[in-house]
Amino acid sequence: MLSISKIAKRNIQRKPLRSFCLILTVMLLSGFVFIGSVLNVSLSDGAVSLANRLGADVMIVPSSYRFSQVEGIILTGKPSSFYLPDNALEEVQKLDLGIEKISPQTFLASFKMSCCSYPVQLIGIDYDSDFIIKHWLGKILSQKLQDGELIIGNNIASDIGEYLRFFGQNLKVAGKLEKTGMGFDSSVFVDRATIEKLADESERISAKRLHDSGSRISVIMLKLKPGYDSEVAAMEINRVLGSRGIQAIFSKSFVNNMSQSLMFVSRAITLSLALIWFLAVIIIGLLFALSISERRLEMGTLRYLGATRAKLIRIMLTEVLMISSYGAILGIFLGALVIPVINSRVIEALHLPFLLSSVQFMISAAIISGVFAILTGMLAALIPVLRAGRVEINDMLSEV
Amino acid sequence: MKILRFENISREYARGSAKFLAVNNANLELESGDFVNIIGRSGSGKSTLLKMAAGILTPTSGKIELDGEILAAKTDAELSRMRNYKIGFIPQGASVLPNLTIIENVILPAILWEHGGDIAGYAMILLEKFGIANLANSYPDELSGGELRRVLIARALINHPKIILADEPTSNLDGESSQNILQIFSRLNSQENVTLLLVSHDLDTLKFGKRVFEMNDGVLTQKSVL
Repeated sequence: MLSISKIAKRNIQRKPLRSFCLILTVMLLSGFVFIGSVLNVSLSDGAVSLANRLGADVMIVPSSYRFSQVEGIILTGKPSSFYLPDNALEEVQKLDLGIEKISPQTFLASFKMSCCSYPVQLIGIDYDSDFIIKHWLGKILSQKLQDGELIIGNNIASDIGEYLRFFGQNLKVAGKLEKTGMGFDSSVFVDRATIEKLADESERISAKRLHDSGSRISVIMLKLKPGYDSEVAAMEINRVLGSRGIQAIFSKSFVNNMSQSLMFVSRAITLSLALIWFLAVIIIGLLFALSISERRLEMGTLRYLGATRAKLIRIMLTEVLMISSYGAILGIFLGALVIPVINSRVIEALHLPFLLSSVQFMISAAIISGVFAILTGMLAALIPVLRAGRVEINDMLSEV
Repeated sequence: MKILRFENISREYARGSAKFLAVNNANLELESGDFVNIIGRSGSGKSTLLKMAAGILTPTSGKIELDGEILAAKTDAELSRMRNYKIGFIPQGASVLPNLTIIENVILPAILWEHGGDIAGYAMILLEKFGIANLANSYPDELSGGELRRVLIARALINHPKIILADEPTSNLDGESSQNILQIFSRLNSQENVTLLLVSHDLDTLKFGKRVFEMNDGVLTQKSVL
């Protein structure tokens, strides 16, 4: 049976090109708002995660490594093997820096191994002195990390109890970390004894020493006592030990860098969305005005057959609502397809930590994006529709 | 019983700084079952008169009564309702909704306001009566001019109106199609007592109907009773 919604639906079906353009516009708006809001929140969560997890006030790395390389390792987990000069730990401990805690870490890049289709970053921690990783591990591991065991990052395709093979060693997965949005998601953590064995085996396989001096320490993490400034401590280390091939980076610089980049990216996303919204309003408004202009005779017919102004407006707004709804739903699907793909690409492209927001947030973002797109469509078409409702019947029929 | 009554109706238009009367002091009364033809040249004011009868145009002066109700006193919503229930308006040209099928176009007036009964069934009966039932699920662009004009007549009858107002019902039709349309009107009037007011410049319409008026530069004069 004929009804207002059927009239609206038929108008949409019988004008496929116009309907396609309108639906596409709303779809892109809905999709981009969905993706943009998830991006913004995920980047923000990633930055918070970074700030929370960095833990150390100062990081000491080889001076041959640039700040951006260290940043890249932390953010992307790009497998790297680099080592400080021999006795670096002892040299740092001699300095009067207000050190509360000091802990070495060993980075070892694996070859393509059983677990992974890509090389993995192995990180050996000194379990007794560690104050960063242990804190996370404590949440998922009830006892001390044992020799021959490992903790895997969230992106590693394995589960607790399974075995992974690195450099000829079969290591048992004792725990799996929560997602951090940083390079740790693609890393594997072992204790010092295990990393030493793996390093020995790596040297044997490659027939090359990891470092000429025999050093196995890649990074030294420092936690300062309250009242001591990390920037001052880093400058002192660089002054005294810079000539020994050692550089100190204070972690505030990481966070500040991230914050600035994040703000820039966030503003860029917001501006892009505002531009897309504005374009959508223009396009929908114009297309509808054009459509109404072509359909004056139809509208005049409805009026002289007995449709009131309000009913005529209702028919046209029903059409807009349907088109906007189709577009909004398709846009949400588009967003749902794109969001899982952008995860690693965003970190790579933007050099920013990225912690994909929760499913609950994404569902909320999807619904809000959809509703926003529908309201935009209705708003954009409202002026031409209301204008059409005010035209006199005789003027509408004057084309006859 | 008077279905339509014009009392000293005038309609003034402005053309630049000059004013002219499209309809000049017209008087007309139609009883139930009447069949009135108004003939005149193009631009004589007959379409303007018809549109005022349908409540589509407002007279500059005078009074129009439809089925005992004064049109000037009505709001837009009340006029819309009146048009839907009491008037079957057939404008010049083929003003159908191109995105609806033929039967949907016929049913259209019945869904704009509350009407009871088997509307779809009655629509089919009307299409059968006019010999176009086989086109019920076709779209308007698939029909000829004569077929479309029959669709408009069926649509005008769907709500059992008090009066049919037809503006140039045979325009752009060939001789045979024109005759068919006028014969339909004649049968509606003679067999079903439908009240009709036709305006046309086609003199063939004079063979049908009961009374003839002429419109000349806005002035309406009765010519004959047939």
